Amino acid sequence: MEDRYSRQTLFPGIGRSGQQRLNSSQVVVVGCGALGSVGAEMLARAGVGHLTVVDRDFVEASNLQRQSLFTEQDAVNNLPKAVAAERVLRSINSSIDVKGVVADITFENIVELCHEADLIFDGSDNFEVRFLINDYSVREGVPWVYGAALGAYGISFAVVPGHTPCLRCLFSEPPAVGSVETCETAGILAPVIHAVCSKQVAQTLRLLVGEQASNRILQLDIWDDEWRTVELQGPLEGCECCSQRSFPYLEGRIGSRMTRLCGRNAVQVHSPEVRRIELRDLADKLGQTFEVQLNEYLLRFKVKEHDISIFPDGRAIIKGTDDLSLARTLYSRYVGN
Amino acid sequence: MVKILFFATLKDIVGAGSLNFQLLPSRGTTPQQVWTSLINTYPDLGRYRELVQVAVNRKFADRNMLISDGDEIAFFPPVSGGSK
Repeated sequence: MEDRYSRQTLFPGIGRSGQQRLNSSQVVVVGCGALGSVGAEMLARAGVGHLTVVDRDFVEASNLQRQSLFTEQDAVNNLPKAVAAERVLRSINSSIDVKGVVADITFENIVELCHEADLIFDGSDNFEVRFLINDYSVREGVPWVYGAALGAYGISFAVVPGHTPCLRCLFSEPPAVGSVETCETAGILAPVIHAVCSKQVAQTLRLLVGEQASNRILQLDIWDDEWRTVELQGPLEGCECCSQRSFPYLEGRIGSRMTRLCGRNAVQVHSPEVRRIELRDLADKLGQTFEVQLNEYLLRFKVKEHDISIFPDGRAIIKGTDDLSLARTLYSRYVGN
Repeated sequence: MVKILFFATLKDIVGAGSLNFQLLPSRGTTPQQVWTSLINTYPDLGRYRELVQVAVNRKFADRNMLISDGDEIAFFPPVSGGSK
């Protein structure tokens, strides 16, 4: 298929030499939900030669409204997203090397997963992973492209260590658990995903062909059709990450701690940086969807066969599973990041 | 008078994407003072007290810089979803 990239190489920003660079590039897509699906598909079609998709979750019916790589059959089969994605991406472009990895990306495996990456593409759904990616990116000098969406809102910017601010220049720590909405409480519109992803992929391609990335952050509301960019200055002077080179997420000093609760078919999830959860606020949000029991010690609700109890100190106990990765998914989905 | 812009969930809390804010003529005002005063008016903004980023005239800015008449101040919350 000699012609497959002809329309892209005609574009002067890419050209034949840019295409060759894309073909020899490696991108790791972290998280294959909506942003990851849409992003990975565009990168595969563009001919990024080595594409790794990492995801800890499996396909469910509620994903199909926006996660463009998956089908009803994948949901019926509870297929891991990384497996379903690899299959589809290979059928879209058999000339590139695609690898799906079913895993929860952590400080323990991020080096193994990303050491050959020219760029990390954010398709994740929580801040903890993004702070981990950011630490890795800054320490190793590998760019990453942040993207996030919630309701009709989207945000994206590229982090190029040494040139742009990093995530921690902008947000010094992740928001407190339960303090911000997640897609499971605020919903999500498919078109905002594609808008955010378009910026992410365009900046990814720019960086891979050797151009500077934009130094602007995009914020948009696709429902009200408000698009706005804000100029980012250079890295923040004194930033703990990119200036002081402190990498607590990458060194495992901050991050979810999870423990299987022996003999109880339950997992405890705890983020040490979360010291307090306003149970009442969380109960208000969750109460819109679930029947929530609340007393001063805990908030408890049921999602299918899982019984989730959340404590004011940030801990959650998830009954009905001994799968750490699933427990963490449930935690970030219903409690926050 | 300065123009205040709200993004994402902040817009939902305030119920409007923008509003005008009268600066006190007597002394210098900072985005931090504007933000504190907004939290008094819209207590739910308090959830984002330390978390928002501030842009003045479309550039990221220090919360403690001085702002002047005619400036545009935008507040951005962190946005997480990806979405799974």
